[in-house]
Order: sequence, then structure tokens, then C-alpha cells
Amino acid sequence: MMILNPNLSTKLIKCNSMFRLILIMVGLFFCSGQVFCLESGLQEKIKGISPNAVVVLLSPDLKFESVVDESSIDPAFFDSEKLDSLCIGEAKNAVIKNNSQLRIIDKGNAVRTSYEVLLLSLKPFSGQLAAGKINQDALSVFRKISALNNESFVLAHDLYAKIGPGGYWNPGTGGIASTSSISRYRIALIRCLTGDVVWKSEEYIRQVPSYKSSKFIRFIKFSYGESNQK
Amino acid sequence: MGKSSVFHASFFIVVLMLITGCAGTYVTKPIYSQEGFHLEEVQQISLLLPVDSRFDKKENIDLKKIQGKCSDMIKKKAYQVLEVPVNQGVKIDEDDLKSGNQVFIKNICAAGTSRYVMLVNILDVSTKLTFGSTGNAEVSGYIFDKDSGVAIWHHKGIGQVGQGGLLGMLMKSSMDNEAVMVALHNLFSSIPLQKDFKKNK
Repeated sequence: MMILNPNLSTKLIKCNSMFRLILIMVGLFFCSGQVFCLESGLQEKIKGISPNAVVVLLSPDLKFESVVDESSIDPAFFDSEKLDSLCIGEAKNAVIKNNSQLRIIDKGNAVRTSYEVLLLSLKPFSGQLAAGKINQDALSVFRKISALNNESFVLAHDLYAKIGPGGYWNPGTGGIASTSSISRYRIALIRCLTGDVVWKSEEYIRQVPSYKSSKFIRFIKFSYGESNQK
Repeated sequence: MGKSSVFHASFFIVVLMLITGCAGTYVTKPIYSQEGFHLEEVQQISLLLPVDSRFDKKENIDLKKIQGKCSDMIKKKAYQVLEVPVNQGVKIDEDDLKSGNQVFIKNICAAGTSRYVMLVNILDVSTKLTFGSTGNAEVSGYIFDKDSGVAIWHHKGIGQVGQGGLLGMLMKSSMDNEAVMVALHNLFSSIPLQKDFKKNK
């Protein structure tokens, strides 16, 4: 039988309790990370919606502008259709993942239904709605949507990119500059019956929008709470 | 006329321009200026406290200090400036300013004491540390006619500054201010000298 030195055993007990403390702290750290990842505001709201409800998903309002003179830039230069699909796809994911029973109406499945005209009438207000600003014209369309289904929601989003001059390096003077482009993505979930904004989000990234960029895709996911890193 | 005389004549003109300071009075064209309106005839401008409508508010900015810098730059062009030290009392973003809503503009101008009211909007300020450091700033400015509730002048200014190397890295903390100053300078470059500039000088 091995007899431990009393001093050594006390040291071992101290080490053991330190080890436990570290384990608890590491555990708490990971748990908090999980909670943050799973429980974003939108996900909670989506989970709380009645299964009979309808979510009308608008196409994102894409706006590209020059930082220098505010002139608008054709979104087609930035593969607007692909960006449109990316934003719609992530919005659908966020809804379905958290409440698979919800019916989503978007431009793809609204054709020849009562929602087709209503979707078109909301298109001009998409950017304003994404900012949580609801005017009388939009409210009247919301009433029509509510008449079709009392439990209806509208999910509006807009992507606004300011395209600035690029960076440079002047080897003669040592002068350098970074690009000043920045993109903002706003989302709002609105209850049609009351016109209340149930949830809204506004995030930005210092990058030109690109459907090919993994950083940009992660940013869109982050806006919906599907990624805990921008 | 021979080639050498053309060269001598153009050299003489350039030297003359530099001596008389013609190069310093260059005015850029604003993004918008109401047709028939002559800004140089305005005597007094009320300068509101700048609005901070940045997406990214990580960098700290001092709106009062920026207002002071704007005031100095406009005064240098011989305009009388009345600084309005209070907040506009209404939430303002760039979209609202661009919309040109007369009621909204009149609400903003209420704090101004003179007919022409200027508002500077800070749109972006950022700094970045690389092998060196850089700073970017974006500002927009509006002059409203308080009586009619319309914008009569609008322009934008951007500032891109930076310095490479170890020295540049040490300068990071000052890059935001530098960038804002360059952006304001570019913004006000489209404001002409007041018509009594020489008299007031």
C-alpha cells in the first residue's frame, strides 16, 4: 500500500478542486455559447407563431449606391438574382427550421393565388417595411392579407450597399487606405392584423455583397441568428 | 509661335496661378443645388448639431467638436455661422433627409434661428490596423430653406487616410479624426466663397 505524503495529498486535493472549477467554467462557457446560438430573437418569435399561420416572404429590396456621389448602381453588376435567392433562402431556412408547420408564401409559390397581387403591391414598400416603418398604403395591403388568413405575418428584408473607392498603397510616401464599402441588411417580421413589428434586426458588414463569399453568406445567416459569428 | 514659346507661356501661367492663389479657390460641383439659387449671396447660416446615422458606431465621435470644425470651415468662406447647440428633437436618418418631406424638414429647421439651416450627417467613421493604420469617413451635408421647407444644397464628402509601417500603426488612434477632417474638407469644398469675402477679409 502506498502511503502519501500529507503535504502532497493536500496539494493533490487542491489541484483536483482547481480542475473541477476549470471544468465547470469551461462547461458554463460552452453552454452559454449554445444558448446564444439557439435562442436568437427571431427564432423565439417563429416558434411562438400558431401552426395555422402564414408568413408572406417579400423579395429583398436591393439597393446599391456609390459612396462618392450617391449615384445608384445597377444591382445586376453584383449578381442581384443570386443575392436575392441567397437572402430568400436564408429567410426560409430561419422560418422552416423553427416552425416547420408554417406556410410560407413567396414569389415562387404565390403565382395565380390571391397572394400574387398582394405581394406585388407590397414590393415598393419592402425597404421601408424592413426598417420597421409602416405607412397607410402598406397597412391597407396588410388588412387584405389578414382577410385571407387572420394569423398572417410579413417578413420584409432589404440589402443596402454603399460602394466606395478601393484601398491603395503608395510606396513613395508610405500612404495607405482601406476600401470604404459597407453593406447593411435589415429584416422585420410584421403581424398583418395589427401592423406591429414583432421583431427586427439590422446588421452591417464592411464588404461588397457577394453570393460567392463565405464571409457574406455567414453574415446573412448571422442576421437570422443561424450563425453566432458575423 | 514656336514650341519653346508655347512652353514658356504655359510655364508663366502656372507660376502666375500659384502666386495669385487661383489654385486654392477651386470649388467642386455639389451633388444638388437648387436651380437659380446662389449660395454665395447667403449671409448667415444656422449650423445644427451634426446627426450620427452610422451603421457602425464602434468609433467614438464628438458631435460638438465636429460642429465646431464645420463652423470654422464655413466661417473661413466669410459666412456668418450660428451654432445651434441642441439636438434636433426628431430622429433623423439619411433616407428621411433624402425624401425631401417638407413637414419633416420644417421640424428639423425649427431649432435654427436664421432662414438657411445647415445639417451635417455623419454616415461612417472607421479605422483599421494593418501593417500601418487607415481611417475612413463619410459625411453628407444639407442646407435647408426654413421658410419653404426644401433642401437648397446637398453634397457629400469622403475621407480616406492612412500611413504604412510601424509609425502608421502608432497613429491608429488619430486616424478617425483625420478621416473626418478630410471628409468635412471635401464636403465644404463645394461651398463657394461668400460674395463679400474680400470685403469681410
